[in-house]
Amino acid sequence: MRDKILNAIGMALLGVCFAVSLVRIAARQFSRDEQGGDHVTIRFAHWQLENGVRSTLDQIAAEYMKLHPGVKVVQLPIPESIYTNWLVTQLVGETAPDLIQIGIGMTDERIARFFLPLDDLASNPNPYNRGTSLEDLPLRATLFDGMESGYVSTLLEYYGVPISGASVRMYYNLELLEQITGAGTPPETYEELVSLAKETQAYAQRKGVPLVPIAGSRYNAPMIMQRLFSSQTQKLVERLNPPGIFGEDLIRRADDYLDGRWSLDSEEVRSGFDLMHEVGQYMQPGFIQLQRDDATLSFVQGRALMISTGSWDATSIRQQASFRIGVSTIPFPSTESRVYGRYLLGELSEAGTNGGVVFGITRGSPQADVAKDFLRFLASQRMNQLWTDESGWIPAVVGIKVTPDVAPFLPVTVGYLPGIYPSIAAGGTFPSLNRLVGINLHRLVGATGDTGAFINAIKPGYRDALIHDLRRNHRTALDISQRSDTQFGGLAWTALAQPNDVKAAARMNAFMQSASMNDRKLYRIRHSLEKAEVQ
Amino acid sequence: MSNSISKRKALHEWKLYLFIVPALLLLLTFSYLPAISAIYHSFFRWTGGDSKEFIGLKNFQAALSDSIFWDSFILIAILVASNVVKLVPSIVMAVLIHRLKSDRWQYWYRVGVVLPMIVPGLVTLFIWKFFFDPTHGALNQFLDISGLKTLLVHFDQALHLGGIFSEGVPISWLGEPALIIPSLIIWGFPWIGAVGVLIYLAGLQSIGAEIYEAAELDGANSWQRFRFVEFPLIMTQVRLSLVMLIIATLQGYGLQFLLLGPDGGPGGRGMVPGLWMFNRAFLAGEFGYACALGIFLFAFILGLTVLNNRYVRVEK
Amino acid sequence: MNATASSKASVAASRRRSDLPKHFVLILLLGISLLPFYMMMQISLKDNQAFFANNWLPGLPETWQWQNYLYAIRLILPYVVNSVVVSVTATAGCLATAILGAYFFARYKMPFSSLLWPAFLLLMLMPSVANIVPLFSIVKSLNLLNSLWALILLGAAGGLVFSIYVLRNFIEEIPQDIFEAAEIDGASHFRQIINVVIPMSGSIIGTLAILTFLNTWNDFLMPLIVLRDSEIFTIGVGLIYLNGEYVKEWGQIMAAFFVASLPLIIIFLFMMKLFIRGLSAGAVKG
Repeated sequence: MRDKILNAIGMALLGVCFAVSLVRIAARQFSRDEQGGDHVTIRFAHWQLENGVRSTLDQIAAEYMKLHPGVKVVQLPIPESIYTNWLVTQLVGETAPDLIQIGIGMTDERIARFFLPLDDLASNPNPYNRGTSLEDLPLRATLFDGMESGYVSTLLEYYGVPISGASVRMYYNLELLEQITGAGTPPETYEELVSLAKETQAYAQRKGVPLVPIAGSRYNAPMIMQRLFSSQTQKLVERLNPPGIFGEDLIRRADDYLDGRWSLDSEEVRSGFDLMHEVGQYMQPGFIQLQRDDATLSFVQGRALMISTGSWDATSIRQQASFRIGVSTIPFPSTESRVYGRYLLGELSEAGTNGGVVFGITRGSPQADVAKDFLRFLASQRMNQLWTDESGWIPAVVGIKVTPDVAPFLPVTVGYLPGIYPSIAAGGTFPSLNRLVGINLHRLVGATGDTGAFINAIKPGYRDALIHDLRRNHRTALDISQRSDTQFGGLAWTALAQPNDVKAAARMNAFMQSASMNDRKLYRIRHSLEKAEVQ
Repeated sequence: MSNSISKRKALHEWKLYLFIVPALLLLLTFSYLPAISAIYHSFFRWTGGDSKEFIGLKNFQAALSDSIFWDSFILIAILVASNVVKLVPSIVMAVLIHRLKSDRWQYWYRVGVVLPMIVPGLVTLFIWKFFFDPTHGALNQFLDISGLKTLLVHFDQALHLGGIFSEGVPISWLGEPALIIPSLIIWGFPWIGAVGVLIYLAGLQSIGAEIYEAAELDGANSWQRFRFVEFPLIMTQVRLSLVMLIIATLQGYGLQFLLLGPDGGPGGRGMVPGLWMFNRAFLAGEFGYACALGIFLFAFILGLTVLNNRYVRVEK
Repeated sequence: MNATASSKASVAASRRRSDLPKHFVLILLLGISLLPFYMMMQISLKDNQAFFANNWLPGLPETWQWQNYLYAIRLILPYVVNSVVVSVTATAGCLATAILGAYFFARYKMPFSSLLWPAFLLLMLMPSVANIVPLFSIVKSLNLLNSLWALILLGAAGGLVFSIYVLRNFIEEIPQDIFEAAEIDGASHFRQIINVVIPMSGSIIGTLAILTFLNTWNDFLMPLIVLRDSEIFTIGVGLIYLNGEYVKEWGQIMAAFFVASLPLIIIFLFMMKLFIRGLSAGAVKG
């Protein structure tokens, strides 16, 4: 009998749950329908789940809705880990939001297929800049990187508009710093950093508190380590470049390696690895296994004095920490240093930094015009000012006053170009090299790390991985080259058919230029590979 | 058995056919059609939209040389083996409960066994993901407190594992490629499945007392009683669990997706065939290729099932 | 009767051996398997500070952070609502369809049923792993993407074959005379189902219901690729999104897990006996 009553109660509760749920869903459906008609809803999606971003974007959306009462703007934040997955299903399923942040999971093919070219947006002034000094400038001139971050060179079109910038800095726990050194000034050179680290360790031992100088993780540590490594290879790059040529040329660097002009045993490279090893000693043991939020947590809980991360984490860190935060560029070794000074030229310039948080517009969007308008709104000076003030991120539009909190993150343009990195490129040009270095990194930076052991570990596979990556790059360049034949045909036809159309001729020329550059790259890689295989 | 029916009556009962229509509709749309569509699309280069390009057997050729796909079968084999071993605690539990003298205790233990089921599988997975967390996870903390961590460090040094377990370094269960497989095996400790225990219990309870008395007279001890009386008589249930378990493990990839992400985790060590199929379709956008992979997987599982049905006969 | 008498005898015979070691092992095993539950509960009432200070033991009642639950409810309840609707509707749909279908097969051997039945069985043996890719496309063609209906229909179809299989066996065991008696009384087939089949297979229907319910409740792969708007997310997707946050407030997350488990807790607390009995009955048949 008791069972029957209990069962009945259970079913009844479930029934109530169900009824309530049904009512809620029906109500939501109803309110949704009410908004049909002349109400337009646009959605924008991104993966920036850091503190401050979502609320700021909501504010901007609210401002837009005030201006345009017939439009509803909905934000869709998607976690990074499932972003690619989500992106593919939305694009293929044709349920994609109107604006999507471009970056993760994007291939040239996806962009070409699913996104609208934004040439008209880029070349025309932004109506929302009316009344400011930017009102007559084409949109792309109002952005600090000239909208380069939204330009896809293989497709010759602008596909996205950035609304932010990004840089990497060293953050300091100022109060702790004062306790340790008596003065609250962050170190300016790497040597000062090392002595500060040693002082910190001594302090920790004296007081018996768990404290490490630098909070590291597999996400944060590379930011310092890569930078330091490249300081040691600046002069190397200078030496390797033909006279009159400056800067990174990754294919050339790869070729130089294959020809033996530099190797893993070169003194500059060894010195770079030594530097990485040394700085790793000042991070938590086993840091290479830790995640991004582990390091952040360490820092905000006062268990680490410094942490290196991007400007995008500034707000998150400030909100979580109970102490004052100091920010400075990651210290570079000084040219006067005995040990590390001879191979470097000087502090890195951040002039080439590109914009971030780039939004593109999906092709299938039924309200593409409204979406474009919202994008213009986002990239207007007034809204970008709101963006930087509220989120604490770097603005993308020029001529914006930043708060004292954001100021230290603005890119420093004065400086030298970087050298090469452990996997030659800073980004993903050589993924197999990245992987090789990554897997063996613990041999270098662990407690028992040793530069010699590390170099011996990666040397055998380095050349093969490099060749593998070169082949991959070759295949990609070949693909682009083959695809460009059709494009070129079309453009040439248009230009020839309308000889008075200046724009068509300009497009064809621009395309030829870009295609030739690609072809040149293609043949250089092929040449390198052929040389390497012959040996 | 259902009655055979005369043709005339059958005509009279034509309305009965209506009863099967909804089921048929649902199954046709959501079970048959996808299967046929999968086979059809595996011959195309299909990116999920409306356009497809017929490429014949190219997908299958590519699949045959896809090392990631075939390597993932190794992991599946390991998981199947470990899942079979993981059946043991449920059986042990069932036997122990069954042998209790007091009926009241038996009831309460059955309740206790069902209790963990309250936490839905999804949440349990997430909690285990939390357990595996290097800094905050319960597993690492337990290992530190109990001193097992030092044991693992010695183990690591003795076998020259290269510092997977090091002093003062939090063990990264889901971040260290070599530890991914052990993590997939360990998860769910102590591996007691409520459904399993109850089913085995039911089976055990149908064992007549005379058999026990006969065993008692023969002087059988605990272990012998288990081996010769209890285990053979719950064989049917065990076999049923086994078959369902193996098929589920072969097909499953939700666990790996949640714990490691759609790329199978660091080094891709956690990649299973189903996950790779999902990855190709919904990350790389190669729907046609994913269908071909699915066909391979399907054929594999079907083959195993047929083998099982043919050669493994149930003896009552 | 006989069984109990003789089992009591054997009990008496083995009374010398104490049950204590069994209890010890059982409690140990049960304790460990309940650990996730315990951890979830005690962490859900802490904030991050308290959590880092002491991982294992719950804090004192004064320090319990009930606002974690407020946050969790605000975040997760919409997902729970969606999941409840999807799971209940899918289960109801599946069972209704399955009972009808099983009745068709079990009642008489209608012509063509010998064709249809193997077709059904084939589905049971066929691994459905490859289906998710074309299913996405089919759902898209039916214009059901980004709607809960897709999940309901898929959930109903998912458990259908197994339910029909089990129910058919069950219905066939019902003595024919009961059916004939009902028929003589003028009951239509539909009425026969309601008056005969359902009361007699109550427990197995209950078990099938719970299994189907659990399956749809725990599913996250299909919802992940079908749903876009966060208003209609189900629990699975909601938890995945929660897990992707950069800054993790563990207390809030655990509270969210608890809220996500609530409907199941309700069901199990009240319908435990039904479930246990149903499983055991099904097991003996199996």
